[in-house]
Amino acid sequence: MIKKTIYITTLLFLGYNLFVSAIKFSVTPGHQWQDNIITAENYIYEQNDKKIVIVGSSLSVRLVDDLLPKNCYNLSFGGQSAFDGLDIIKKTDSQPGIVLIETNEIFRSAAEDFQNGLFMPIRYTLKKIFPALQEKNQPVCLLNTAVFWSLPKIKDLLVPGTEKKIIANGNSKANPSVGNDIKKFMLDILIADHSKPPHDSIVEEQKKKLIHYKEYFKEKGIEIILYEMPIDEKLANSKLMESVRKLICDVFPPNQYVFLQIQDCSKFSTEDGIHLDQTSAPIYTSFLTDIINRYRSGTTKKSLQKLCTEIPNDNKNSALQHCQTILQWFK
Amino acid sequence: MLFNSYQFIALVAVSFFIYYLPPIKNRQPVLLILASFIFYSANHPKLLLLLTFSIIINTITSYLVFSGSFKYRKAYAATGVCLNLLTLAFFKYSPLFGKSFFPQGNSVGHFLMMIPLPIGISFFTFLGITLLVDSFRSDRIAEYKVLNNKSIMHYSINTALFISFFPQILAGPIVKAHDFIPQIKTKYLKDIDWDHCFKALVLGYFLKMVIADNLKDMTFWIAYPYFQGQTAITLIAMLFGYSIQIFSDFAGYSLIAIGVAGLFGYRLPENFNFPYISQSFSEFWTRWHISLSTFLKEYLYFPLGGNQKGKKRTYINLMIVMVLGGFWHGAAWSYAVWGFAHGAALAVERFLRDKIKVPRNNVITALKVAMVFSYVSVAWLLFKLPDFNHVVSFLATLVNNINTSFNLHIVLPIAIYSFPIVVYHLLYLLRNRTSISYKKLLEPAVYGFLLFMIITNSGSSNAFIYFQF
Repeated sequence: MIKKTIYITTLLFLGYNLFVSAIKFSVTPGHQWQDNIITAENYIYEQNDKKIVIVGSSLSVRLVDDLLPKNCYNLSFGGQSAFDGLDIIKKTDSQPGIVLIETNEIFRSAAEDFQNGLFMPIRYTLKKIFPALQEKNQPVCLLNTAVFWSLPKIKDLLVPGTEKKIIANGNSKANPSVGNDIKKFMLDILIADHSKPPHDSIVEEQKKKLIHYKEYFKEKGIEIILYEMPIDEKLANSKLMESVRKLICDVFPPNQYVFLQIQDCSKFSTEDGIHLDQTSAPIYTSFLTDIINRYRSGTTKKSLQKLCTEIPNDNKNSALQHCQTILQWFK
Repeated sequence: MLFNSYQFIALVAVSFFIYYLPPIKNRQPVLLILASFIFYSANHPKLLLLLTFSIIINTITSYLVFSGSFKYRKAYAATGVCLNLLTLAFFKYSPLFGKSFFPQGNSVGHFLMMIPLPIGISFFTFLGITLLVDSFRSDRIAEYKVLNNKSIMHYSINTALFISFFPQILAGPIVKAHDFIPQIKTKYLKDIDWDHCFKALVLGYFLKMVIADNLKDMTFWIAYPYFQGQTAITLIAMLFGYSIQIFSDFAGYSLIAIGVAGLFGYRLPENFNFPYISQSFSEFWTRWHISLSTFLKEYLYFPLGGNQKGKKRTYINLMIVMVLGGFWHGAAWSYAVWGFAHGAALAVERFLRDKIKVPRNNVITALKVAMVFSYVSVAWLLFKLPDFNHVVSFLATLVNNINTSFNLHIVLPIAIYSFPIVVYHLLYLLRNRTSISYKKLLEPAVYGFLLFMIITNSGSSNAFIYFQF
């Protein structure tokens, strides 16, 4: 019985491996952790030749991939920090031209479990040889994707034009007042968290890591752009964020590095205080893309740097207009 | 050390290889003790002191009960049991005691709250108790052939192996002394029941790594305050998913323990027997965590008088056993509430059983199964949300958010991962309707598929839920 079982498993595995190697899917991850692993594995095994890499936390996960420049990979992870992406770039020995580092969660270290899981020698090699072992090729992940792909089609076929009752994006909107409670609850927690600067030992530790990466990228000829994702205005000038900016400016002198900050965060709206919502995320992505394109086309660092210090005080009331104003001013 | 870690696989492989070498034949228990100490102390070497202390206490007291003066046997046994309970109480309940009975900022209260909970303590102190009680019960002594005419050293080795045996030290099954100790003898490779071990390991790892470890990422959203944003259907799906997760996690662990123990020639008792097909609460407790429920029955319910002292006393005994059983799970009042809920269900069921005669047909059976499962599932909320206010808030959200929409990103994966467990239970219900030859033919294909899923679809590794107890 054991022998037969092992034969069947081997056959299934080899067949499945052939199947996923032959057909490439764009999958719907089941949850955040899986999304993180898929993002990392896609970079490690397939896309580490990208010329622009964005590293960040869940804040940058909100950037809209389709609006980012071509040849750009968003190596940001929900619940984690920019250091996870930086570690991956280093461990894969990849050579992008530009690395954009999100600074908001810079006091958070890389997740050890996550990194160990990705680069455990045996597992890493096996996943490289057998794509069936990669997270995105999990049979249930493919099944999940197939259902999400076919469900709207079936629904439209059965009842054309009816309003969708299935809410397929994050928290449902069944009870908006409850949603607001959560938003307020989360914002209160964040305000409390942001009201205290981090402990000196944490600042020193993160500073060392940033200096290490600054030197590493310099040695490899990789350019660095730092950016701060817009957050709720109640948090934007908190003690924590001031500490973040001070640390960044200490490690990356403003006259040598570009550090993009949105001065007036009230123009952007968030879901919970830190994550841009569906309206603001595309606007900020387009803005970031425009900056990257200008940077690549030779605009001086000094000119770009002005963005973080001399943003005009316009009277427009939307994030889109705000970004457009910044860019027009920049011209 | 997790059962699904490379370190564990390496430990089992190396121990297994050495274990059956001819020169080791007479030292097999010592080798297993050594492997168990490595296993137990892998993450926290200091904990080995506590385990050694427990082994010494239980060895001395049980040896005295077994071979000391007849006059003092009861005193020795009681001392040993008390020492076990005190150790458990000190490490497990001091934080609750400190939190409940000392004002905030009090140094004694702070000290009590800082006492760490050593992993597996609830399990190995119970093993110590079974050793002492079984030693004391004269009818059991006869079964200890292994112990007869042997030296104290030999006795100590056997006791140490019984308490520290690594497949079961962290989360059971809670094997009784009278079941395990007679098994201690020289083992031979030819005696291994390979099919039994292989099936237990494949099914155990499938339940843990594919079902439980994937479901945990969906049931995560039961946490406060995230559940507040979900609709009733999503909340019910998550609760259902958590029921499946906790079963898969613990049943998976137990099966792996049984499989690994089998490789070393030991039979551990079955811990789960398709619990979610139970038609009554009393049946549920004969199918869920069987080793704990039989322990509580044998060592607590019967000594309290069981059902032999009248109806009222039976209800009280049930409540005592279940509340203490709840407290055994964790040092929080919510666990006591959980135990109370189950005790009350058992008492009410017993009361109604005498009063109402329910007709027997498939519809009634299905309703009974659904009712028991729903009640048990709601009670699991107390495991997931240890703050009682959050449990109430969860139930209030469930009632307030009734509508037809749901979050497909949560509901769909729960449905997919729960499906095998539903089928697993259904197949058991239909076991008499399928022919044995048909099952035999399909078995390799089924286990082959499970193994394929373990290889390709495991979730991110996570500690077993019952490790926290």
